[in-house]
Amino acid sequence: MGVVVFSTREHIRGADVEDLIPGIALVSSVFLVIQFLNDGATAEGALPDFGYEFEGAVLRAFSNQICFDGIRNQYALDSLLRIFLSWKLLGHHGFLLHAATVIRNKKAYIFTGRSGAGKSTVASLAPEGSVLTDEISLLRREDGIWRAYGTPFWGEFRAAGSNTSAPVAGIFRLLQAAENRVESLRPMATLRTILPNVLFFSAEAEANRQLLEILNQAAKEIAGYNLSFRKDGAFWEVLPE
Amino acid sequence: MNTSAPVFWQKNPALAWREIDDETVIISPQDSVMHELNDTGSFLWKNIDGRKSAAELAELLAANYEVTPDAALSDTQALLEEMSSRKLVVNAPETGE
Repeated sequence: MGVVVFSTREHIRGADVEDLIPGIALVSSVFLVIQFLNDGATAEGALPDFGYEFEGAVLRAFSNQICFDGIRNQYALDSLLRIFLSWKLLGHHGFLLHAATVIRNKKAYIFTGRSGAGKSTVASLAPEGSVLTDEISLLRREDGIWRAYGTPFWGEFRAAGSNTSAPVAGIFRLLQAAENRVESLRPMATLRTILPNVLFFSAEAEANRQLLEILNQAAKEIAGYNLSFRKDGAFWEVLPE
Repeated sequence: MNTSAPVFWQKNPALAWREIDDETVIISPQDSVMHELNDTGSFLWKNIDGRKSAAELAELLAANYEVTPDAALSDTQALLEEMSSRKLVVNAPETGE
């Protein structure tokens, strides 16, 4: 055995086509975003700050305008909005994570994991009205505190999204097991947990550096845990306050 | 091996990377793959600066960690080979004398 260990891990989910299979776009939230961003002058012929094409649908983002072209259905718009938001959040110290967010005692519990890990199960076991999302969570650092926001992106659960936020209690990596148990993670392990579940679509090195910087800070400042859980509501009892 | 002109290694400038808890996470944006290095790998990574050959990197490794010069050299060469095949490191352009 050598002393130098090098390992290449799973793909970061951001670029997987699987991620582009959308949930439900809440049209009202979508229009709020677009109107908010379209309050400036148009940029005819100018190069966008960020662009992305997905199945013929094109997103171009300028400093004061965002353009969607070739949108034929809500799913294309939903996908481009995820892509746009993941890019836009860079400048706001935030990121999108494949995770369910449940509010409990005014704090946001983030449950992350791959498809089938139990995000929707956790959401379905949570009290009515406490689920911010069962699919895509938005995390942002504001005034030194990480907060989780509701998003218009949903998976199986399909409840109405709520435009609200709460300080983050922790990020929990879902592992299905016979008994409920939490195990605290070191920052590196937390980073390892979030990285494959972060949505990000830019191939540009600088944007990726910015993202890594944000994620690194999140991994250091947010408590991370492995959560082994049975598919019943009893797992809440083992979660830290 | 070419013995006349040592090959110097540099990090691929298109990467994003970050050291955390003495380990290093490297992201290659083009294929969205995440790579990890342990503490000794991170030590080598930090020292890959376009001005050192595999032998020089191995010397540094042996001087800073409890590892024999032979093991340091074979590990360093293996790491560089692996990382080179994944385009995480590239040969530094020859600067001449």
